Amino acid sequence: MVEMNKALQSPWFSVVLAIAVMTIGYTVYLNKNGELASINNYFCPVEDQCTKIGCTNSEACSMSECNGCPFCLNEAS
Amino acid sequence: MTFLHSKHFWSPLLLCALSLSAFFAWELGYFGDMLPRLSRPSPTQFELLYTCVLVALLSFDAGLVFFRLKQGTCPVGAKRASTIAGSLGIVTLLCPACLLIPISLFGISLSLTFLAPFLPLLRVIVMFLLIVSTIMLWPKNASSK
Repeated sequence: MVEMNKALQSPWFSVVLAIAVMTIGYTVYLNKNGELASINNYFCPVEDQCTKIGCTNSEACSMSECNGCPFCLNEAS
Repeated sequence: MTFLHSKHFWSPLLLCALSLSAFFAWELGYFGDMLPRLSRPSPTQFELLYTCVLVALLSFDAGLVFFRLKQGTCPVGAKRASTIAGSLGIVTLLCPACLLIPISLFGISLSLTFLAPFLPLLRVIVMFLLIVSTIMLWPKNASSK
């Protein structure tokens, strides 16, 4: 009981609680359409940049600018 | 703010800032072909900003931890939280969503793709933990002066 009271009074309890609330809130936000959280919900931040440069075909993948672009990574594997 | 005049604060801060900057520069691919590089795309502007804030906060926390250790006090919780935040920060910069198909790291990249939808949340948690750690590590008698 004393240990539990100590844990509840610790400032880290509020921090853990805040992180738990954020995680639950974010998961609910991701699942708002009834879909499970999956890779499809995530938008790769460099996808637009890669498309603008033109890293969408095998020839372009030889350019250093296209290094790491999703299309080139999929081609390489 | 007595700690600003202490070499026990500045030495670890500078050492940590240098080593972390070098590590994150490697992780983001700025060393080119000098070292083996991770298969990740060029960093976005947001990722660069996030890395700068991450390095600054981690270095500041390292400085405060050493300063408080020299004073004979150090909240162990804040030290651990900074370490967890730093490790999570490294993971969030790997950009696992762009590594849909494992290439070189096989099992590891496959497990990281599972975290991809939660990257923005992980980044917020990292910043939150680092800010809380900084507040906890701030020398209590320094603020009243």
